[in-house]
Amino acid sequence: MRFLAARLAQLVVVLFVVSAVSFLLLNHLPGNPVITLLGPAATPEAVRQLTAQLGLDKPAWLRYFIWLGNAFQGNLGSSYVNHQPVLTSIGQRLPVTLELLVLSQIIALALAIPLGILSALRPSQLVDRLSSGAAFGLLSVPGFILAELLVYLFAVRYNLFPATGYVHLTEDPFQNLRSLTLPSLTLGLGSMAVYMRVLRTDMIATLQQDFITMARSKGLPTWWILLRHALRPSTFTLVTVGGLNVGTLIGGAFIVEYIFQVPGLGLLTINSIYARDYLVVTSTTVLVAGGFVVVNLLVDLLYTFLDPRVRSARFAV
Amino acid sequence: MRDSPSEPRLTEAVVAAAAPVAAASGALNGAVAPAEPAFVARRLGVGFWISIVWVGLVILVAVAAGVLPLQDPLAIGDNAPRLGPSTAHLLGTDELGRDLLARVVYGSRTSLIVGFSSIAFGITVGGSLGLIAGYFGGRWDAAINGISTILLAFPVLIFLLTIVTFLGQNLFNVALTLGILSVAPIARIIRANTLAYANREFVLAARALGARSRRILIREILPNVLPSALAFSLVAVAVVIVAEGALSFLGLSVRPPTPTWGGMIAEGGQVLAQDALVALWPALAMFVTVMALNFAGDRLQVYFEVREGGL
Repeated sequence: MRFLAARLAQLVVVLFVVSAVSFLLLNHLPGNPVITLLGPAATPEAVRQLTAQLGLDKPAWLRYFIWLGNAFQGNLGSSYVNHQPVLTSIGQRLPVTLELLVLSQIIALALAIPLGILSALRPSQLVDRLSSGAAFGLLSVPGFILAELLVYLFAVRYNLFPATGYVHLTEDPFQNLRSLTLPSLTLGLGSMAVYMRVLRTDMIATLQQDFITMARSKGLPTWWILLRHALRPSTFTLVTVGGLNVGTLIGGAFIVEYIFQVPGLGLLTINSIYARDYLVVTSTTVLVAGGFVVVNLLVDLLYTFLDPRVRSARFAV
Repeated sequence: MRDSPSEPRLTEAVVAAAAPVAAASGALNGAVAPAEPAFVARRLGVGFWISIVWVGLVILVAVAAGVLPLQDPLAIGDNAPRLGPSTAHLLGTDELGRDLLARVVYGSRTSLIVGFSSIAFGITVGGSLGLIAGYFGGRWDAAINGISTILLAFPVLIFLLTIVTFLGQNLFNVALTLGILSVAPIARIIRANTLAYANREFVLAARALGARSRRILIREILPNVLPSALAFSLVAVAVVIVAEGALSFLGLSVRPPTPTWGGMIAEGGQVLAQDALVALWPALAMFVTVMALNFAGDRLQVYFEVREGGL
């Protein structure tokens, strides 16, 4: 329990620092939302009026604490640009990003687990060499290059999937999946390479243990041993790496959303940075940072499920 | 593995005798390794040298770009747009008729300067912090750990976008920002490595001899931590080159018309349907360079790990 309390305290500190830093940093960016809204030809009078109306005449630190106070009551403020409450825009955009992330991870795991197991079963053989080589190559392809490559292959050369034009899930589930295929493939292939490598390493170590020899000597079929005996103890590093990967993944999702014009959190954030829409950027930043910390906390808790020995060690502290 | 039973004992005796002296100078493994069967596996391999030669070549060409017989990478309108590869333009020309070979070569300058200088910064600052945190522990460790936890939770891309927009888009600011971002992960890794050495016998011996902390850190621990830091920093340079590429892809790195690989890929992406080669060349240059750095770093890591295993 003390472990959990310490981690929750850490979460609060991280969120506070991240929100303060991003709020103050964004406020010092050259350019301001009033000019963006009114255009460069606005009269000084109109500028002053709108500045006061948006509350931008107060010093930045005071505005931060006002924002923080409101945030605790569930009000993240409104966009300076389209006056939409920030919470509403996040509510619209978050499911899109989550769907993208989940799809990409499904693709990554669906490829990484079978390939990792097959490679570990016969290390240094054909399957292992091919998939390890491919994984190494994939790790060296930046996301935006992979995105362009997939666009070229599947949208330009063969018109199988659209390069842009997101369709919402509620409108047409099939077209929705089609429009998210290339973005989630871009993200998923990057993760897949990482996952496959760590699973392969752990699996090779597991397969050398006594209980596997025992299972083999009982005459159990190989696939049964691999899936029921060896897989779970081999997923330790995979889960850790998966948790740490969330940070990379979100960064990747931002660029992928920008390239494929998927209206998720990433596109919202990038556009809001250009428009100097501070409240939106601060809110999404805090959301992303909080998500990262929470996922890693969940990963720590998941260890106890994967290996009961961790539980006693952890809670004895 | 060994034929005679007397040999292991002999080796052990040599190790025991040599340990206090040789370990302090970091030569223990060199002295004993020939007797170990693991020595056979201690090879960097052909791939490593190919990677190093490629990276060296890219650096050389980038430095010498001014004296090489290249066309002006910025001259607009001298040539027809989107010419295919020919003897006059080995890689063809882009949408504005600029020579692609010259642009790829000059574009490498941005990637390399940002990649190597920011990691030099990261290794210096992050490395020192990691050494201090790992060696002194206690409050130092807690403080440095806390700061790096926050830095790691901060979404990298948002941080990059805001800082670069705030400071202005030029080479120095991009390199500095990426350098700052690299501090936390590097500090983490150096800290973990330092921890592994902080309480080893040779450190205790040095302390017993009355060496001060600064001397122990620089003379005893640093030489042991440095090899894996070198291996890691090659991979880190690759990561930074990709990050700079992403920034210039979004148009937020060094301003055009200065050629950058990321910027060229973005421009080529616009004319993908007409001529995919425009995007292919910079993408290929970036991919091969990043892969070479990754591969060399990976091999070095394995190489130094084997050395550890030989102990």
